[in-house]
Amino acid sequence: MDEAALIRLARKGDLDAFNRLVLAHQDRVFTQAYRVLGEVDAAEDATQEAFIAAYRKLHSYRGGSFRGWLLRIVTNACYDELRRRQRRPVAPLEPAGADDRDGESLPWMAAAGETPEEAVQRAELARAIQECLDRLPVDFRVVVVLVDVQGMDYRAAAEIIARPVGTVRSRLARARRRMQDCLQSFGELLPAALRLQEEAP
Amino acid sequence: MMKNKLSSRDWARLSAYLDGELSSGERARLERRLRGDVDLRRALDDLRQTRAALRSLPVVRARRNFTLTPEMVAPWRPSRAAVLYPVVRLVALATSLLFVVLLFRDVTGVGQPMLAAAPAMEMASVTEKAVSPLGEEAAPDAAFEAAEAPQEKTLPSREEPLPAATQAPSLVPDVAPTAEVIVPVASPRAALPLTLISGLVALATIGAALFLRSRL
Repeated sequence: MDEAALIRLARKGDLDAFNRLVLAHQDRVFTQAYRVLGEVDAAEDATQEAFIAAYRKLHSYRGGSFRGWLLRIVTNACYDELRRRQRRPVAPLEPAGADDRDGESLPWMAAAGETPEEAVQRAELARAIQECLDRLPVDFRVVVVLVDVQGMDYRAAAEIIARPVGTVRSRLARARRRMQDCLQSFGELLPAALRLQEEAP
Repeated sequence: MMKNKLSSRDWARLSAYLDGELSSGERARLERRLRGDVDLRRALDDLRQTRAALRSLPVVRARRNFTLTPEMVAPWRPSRAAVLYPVVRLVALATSLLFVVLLFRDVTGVGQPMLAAAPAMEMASVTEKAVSPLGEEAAPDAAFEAAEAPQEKTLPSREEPLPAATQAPSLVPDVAPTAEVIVPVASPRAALPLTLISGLVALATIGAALFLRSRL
C-alpha cells in the first residue's frame, strides 16, 4: 500500500496504517532529533512526542512531502525540549558517557560490511561532527541538519522552519563556516578519501 | 588567511553554489570570479570538504520502534487538579481582594459613613419630626417611639446617654448632630466578622490553590 493510501486510512483513525508510516519514517525523524538535541534519550522522547502529535494533527496535513511534514513536527518538538532545558536546566547525576550521550558508538549504529578500523574512524568522525553541531546556535544547527544530513533542498527546509529561502541560505552558509572552523581542531579525523569524494558542480 | 576577507555574501554564494541553489546568472558570475581568485577557490574547497563531512553522517537507526498504542493516542483529558486550579485561583484572588478592602475600611474608616448613611438619614428625619413643635412640652408621640425602636436596635451596647434629640425632643431644639452621633458606632461591629470570614476564606483558597498547583 502506498503512502497516500496509508495517510488516508490513518486519517480515518486506522492506527495500524499510521504505525506503518511510523516504521517507514522513524529513522529519519529520530536522526533529526538526535542531531539537533545531541542525546539519544532526549531524541527518543522527542521522536515519540512527534509521532503522537502527528497522529493527532493528521487532519492538518495538506499534502506535499509527508517526511517534510514529520520533520517539521519533530523539529518543533526539539525546540520545545531545548526551551524546557533553558527554563529548567538539570545537571546529570553522572557525567554523560559513551552509552547515553554519544549515539555514534552504540552497537546498533555499526554499518554492515565495515572493518573494525573503518568503524572506529567513522565513529570518531561522527563524534567530532556531532560535537561541532552541538556548539552551533540551534537555528543554524536545525538548518544544517535539514540540508546536509536529511538532504532537503532549500525550499523544503524553508517550509519546515517556516522562514524564507534566503534565511536558509544565509544560516546554512554561516553554519558551514562555523563547522569548518570547529572541525579544523579535528583535522586529522577528516579522511583524505572524504575530501575527494565530491566533485565540483 | 585571505579567505577571511570574504564577505558573508560571498560565503553564502559559495555555499549555495555547492548545493546548486544559485540562479544561472549568479552561478556564471561566481564561476568567472573563481577562475581568477585563488582565495575564493580555496574557500570553496574548504566549504566543500566541510559539506562532505556533514553529508557523511549516517541516518541514525533508532534503537526501538516508535509505533503508537491506542493508550498513547487516547483523547487527552485534563486532570481534576488542572480543571479546578484556575477556578480556585480566581476565588483566592477575589477573596483576598475582598479581605484587603474590608480590612482597609475597618482600619481607616473610609466607606463606613456610606454604609450607615441610610439609617442615619432615616433617624434624622424622624427626630426632626419629633422635635418640630419647638418649645412645647409635648410627650413623645408615636413617631418618636417609632424612632426609638430602631435606635435601640442599632445601639444595643451604648452606655453613654443618648443625645438630646433622642432623649427629650422637646428640651433640645438643636438636633442637627444626630447623624454624626449615630453613624460611627454601628458599622465596625457589623463589618468585623465579615472581614474575619473573608480573611479565613482567602487563606483557605490560597492554600487550596497552592495544593492544586503542586499536583499539576
